[in-house]
Amino acid sequence: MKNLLKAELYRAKFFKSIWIGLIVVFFLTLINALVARSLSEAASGSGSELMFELMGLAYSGKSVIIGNVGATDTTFLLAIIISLIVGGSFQNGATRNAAICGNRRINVFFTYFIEAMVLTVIYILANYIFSGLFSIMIGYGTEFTANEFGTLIGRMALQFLSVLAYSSVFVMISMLIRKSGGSIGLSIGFYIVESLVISAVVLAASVAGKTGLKEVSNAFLSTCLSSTVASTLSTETILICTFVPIAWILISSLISVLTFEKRDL
Amino acid sequence: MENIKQDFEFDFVKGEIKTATDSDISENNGFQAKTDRNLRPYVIKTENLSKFYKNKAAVDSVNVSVRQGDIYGLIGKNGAGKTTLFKIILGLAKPDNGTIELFNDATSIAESRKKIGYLIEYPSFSAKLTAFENLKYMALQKGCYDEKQIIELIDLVGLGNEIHKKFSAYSLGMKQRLGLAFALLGSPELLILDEPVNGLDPEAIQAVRNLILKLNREKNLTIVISSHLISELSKVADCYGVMANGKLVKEIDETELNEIVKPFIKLVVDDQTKTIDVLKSMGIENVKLANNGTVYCYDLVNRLSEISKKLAENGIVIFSISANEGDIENYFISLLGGNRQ
Repeated sequence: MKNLLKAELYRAKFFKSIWIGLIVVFFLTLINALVARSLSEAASGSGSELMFELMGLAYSGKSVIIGNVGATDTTFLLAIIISLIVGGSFQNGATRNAAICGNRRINVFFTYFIEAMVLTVIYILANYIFSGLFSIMIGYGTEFTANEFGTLIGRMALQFLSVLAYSSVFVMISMLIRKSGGSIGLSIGFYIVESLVISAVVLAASVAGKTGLKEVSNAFLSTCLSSTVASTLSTETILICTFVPIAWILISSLISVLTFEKRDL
Repeated sequence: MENIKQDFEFDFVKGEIKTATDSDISENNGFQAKTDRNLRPYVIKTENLSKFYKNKAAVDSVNVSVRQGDIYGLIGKNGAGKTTLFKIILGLAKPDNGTIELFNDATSIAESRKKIGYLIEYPSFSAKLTAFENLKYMALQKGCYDEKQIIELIDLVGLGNEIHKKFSAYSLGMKQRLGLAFALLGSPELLILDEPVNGLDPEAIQAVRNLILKLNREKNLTIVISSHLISELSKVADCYGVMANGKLVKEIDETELNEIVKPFIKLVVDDQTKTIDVLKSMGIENVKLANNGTVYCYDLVNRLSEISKKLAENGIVIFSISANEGDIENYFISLLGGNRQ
């Protein structure tokens, strides 16, 4: 697996989409920070701060940092880039070569999985760094209390988990579809449809008046991700936002490994 | 494969070997003489290997035996199961039945596969990377990265001047040649080449043929090749497997094949017994009798006129006489279920 990781590291240099994606992250965080500032100014003195806070919208530097990852941009970009890398590897024969030269298929899977996870970490970190910089630049200030800092780190950790789980699903989709174009479509589709399904579940629960049905939405990743930008985080939410992504990572990895082991290349 | 360029240098433009010492393959200069095939160890041995797709057998109870040093030609029509067989051997497809032994070892197949170089279906490279970058990536995957060897291999297949050109800008023939360079990465002991001359012009085909012979004879590399071009295959292979409808219908070595397809004279005469006596008096012992006064004669086949003259002098009436060249292509076509001409 060491050889495979070395090879992937070498190949990553040539993936323009990785670098383009980072540039996109830079500009998106800037736009998001400016939008947050406008919202903040609009709310200032009108007593609307609390309303913005309750709506989970960015209204402060800290919220800008957290809100950007909670926004769809990073996950959306990762859906595209992971599909290009993993789906593309099947298309151009890289996976086939990796499987032939003495590597067990599970190792080939883990190479792609690790690659996707590393990319995810890089993208989220880039998002936090850019958001932090812009937040300072547009004048939100830099001071955190120890308590605030702890909360920020905790929310970041939960966001990491949710986005890593999304990436794991994108790896699974790419390994099932085995084509970059189809994988991009399906990964983005999954991301959008998942949110729609949650909305439908919540709506159905409200109409039917069944709170139990509403809890089903907790099993979805977009619920977890949006929970991390909510104004308050209950212990129950923290637990849900911890274990649901882990479950998604385990299940999607298991499906990836089982199908990859079974199917011909 | 180390310092491979010093051993071989092929001109893919002229289709010939450039080094003075290796100028003529047919002379066998410096080549290792092959030992008796049956004494050499197995490199690939399959037993009842089968693979089904939706209940249709793509590979059906195949028993292939490739021995060290063989150039094994796998012949079959499209869809005969050749590529599927290769994929199973390489671990790209899982067999539904049967066993595989690689390098006389059935236990560590994955490890054995490291010793295989291959070119299956089409060369698989990243379009945005150059020839060098593609080979470097694949060498890293194999754990055998050696910059010098990559440059030498690219030179070897005649792409030295195109080393930094992106793969997407390559012609089909160039892609095929890069595929061959890839197959040779990491000094494999077994080469599996699926239609290696697809898309190549005649001169490049000749160069590939020469390369295959050199690698086999000088490095004792075992090579398994599939090709639709039976005549081309017969110029390099010393052992054949014929596949039809997923089955290995025949496995035959060169000696056996030469025996079957050797040239002969076909005579139709009025008196077979007398004809045999006359032929024996001429030193022709290898004869076969058939119905309707037919006599097949396998010796002195280039002396047709002499034979007819002698038979006539002995009062034998000859209804017809014809010399037939041994035709490997026709033989294989008949095995594949086609009409033998």
